[in-house]
Amino acid sequence: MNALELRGLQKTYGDFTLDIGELTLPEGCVMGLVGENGAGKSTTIRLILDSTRADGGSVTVLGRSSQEDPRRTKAEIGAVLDELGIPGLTALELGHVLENIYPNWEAETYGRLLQKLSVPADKPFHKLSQGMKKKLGIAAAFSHNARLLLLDEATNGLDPVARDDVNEMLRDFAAEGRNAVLISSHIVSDLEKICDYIAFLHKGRLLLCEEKDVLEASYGLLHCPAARLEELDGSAILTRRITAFGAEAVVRRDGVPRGTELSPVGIEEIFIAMAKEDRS
Amino acid sequence: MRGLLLKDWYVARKNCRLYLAVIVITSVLFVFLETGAAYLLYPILFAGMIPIMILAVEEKTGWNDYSLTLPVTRRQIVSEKYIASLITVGGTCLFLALLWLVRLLVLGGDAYALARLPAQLLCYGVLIPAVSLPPMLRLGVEKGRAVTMAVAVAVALVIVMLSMRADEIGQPDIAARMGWHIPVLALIAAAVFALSWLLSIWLYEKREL
Repeated sequence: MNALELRGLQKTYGDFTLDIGELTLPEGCVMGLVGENGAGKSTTIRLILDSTRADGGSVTVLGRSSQEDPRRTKAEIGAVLDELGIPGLTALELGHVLENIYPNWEAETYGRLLQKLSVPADKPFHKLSQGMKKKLGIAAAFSHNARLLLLDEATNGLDPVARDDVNEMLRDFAAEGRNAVLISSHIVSDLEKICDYIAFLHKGRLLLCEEKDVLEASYGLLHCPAARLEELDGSAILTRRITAFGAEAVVRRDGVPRGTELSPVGIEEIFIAMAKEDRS
Repeated sequence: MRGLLLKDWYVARKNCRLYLAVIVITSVLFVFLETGAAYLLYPILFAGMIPIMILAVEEKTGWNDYSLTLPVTRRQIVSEKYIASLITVGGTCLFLALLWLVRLLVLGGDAYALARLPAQLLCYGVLIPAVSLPPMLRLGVEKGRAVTMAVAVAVALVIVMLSMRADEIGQPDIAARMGWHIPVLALIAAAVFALSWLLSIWLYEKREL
């Protein structure tokens, strides 16, 4: 069973349209959702949660339509939004509230995670730093036996140690087999460490949704004289940069002659290249 | 529902202390100072505004968004506000009834008012959230407040016009003077409250957050 399936998902706000053709997140996997500011990452997560009504398409979460028994579905989803809205409660008070909302709340796990992430239990939410607020949200998301985690820029604002802890938690979570994670982030280096799948969102459109390894194997970085670049099939070149020392281009491996030496290219470079290609 | 009510209690405890103080002080003052039953609408007014105050805090802090990630429906989120209204207004009416009983025992007075007044005040009290919550849940607290203010001004004008009749000032049985009996008043209040509840659910389910 897939943890998440989006088919033909659409939402229009004024002159912006989100159009997710097809996105599939298998169980046991972590998917990174990469996109520039305003690309529609948060909107996608809100559509999955049915917080925002889609104009078209379908969302299937853990084998169920998102609108079929939403309470049961949300009980199995742990969500950390970009802005966590807790009205002045302390971590302790939030725990008591969520204990009375989630059927599978684990108070012990919550307490343990607050300690692990160094979140003070008795400080009002509005007095916590931005990073602490995110950590509190993460602790809550992990404390009710969720099967799908939706994290919207959840690790932004965390210190490197905390980010590493959270990344490890996400890896362990997904490794439990029936769980899955969808995480959107600008920190692509984190996504490269933990993600199995990468989805690129650009100006509301899903440019691709692919296994990270396949993606990295499909593209490469070519360093060559500018003249040689002109000899290549133009459709294989995503981006090019010409300097006094030569040319540098992100290319599709299957579009360049066999034996051409290509350097590995990171997810961030591929995304930037695809976004610029789409723009032109 | 229990979790949402507990959240409201925590928020009220931190943000509505002034309201609670006003309710207690005005209740004691107006019961024992024999100022007239109409003044007892003050603590009821503040009691009815507590859920609205909590709604404002929630909107300001972004709880509306976060709550939709939880396994609660929009229907439950709205219903919890109405239940909270009944708790705050009903609790205040009970408090007033207790004060009135103490006053009866200590100072004597109208024993019939003990039975009649809290029921009347409860009926008036539930009208405050009934009128305020639908526009606020649909439009947000700021825009909804404008609608509520317009209704409040209209209601205040009616009360002022009634109060201007000299023989009605300070009379505890304004409703009776208007020819309404408590059961009729209760029926009207219950109907308005119930319709408001249903309307709010319908409006909030349509709202884009």
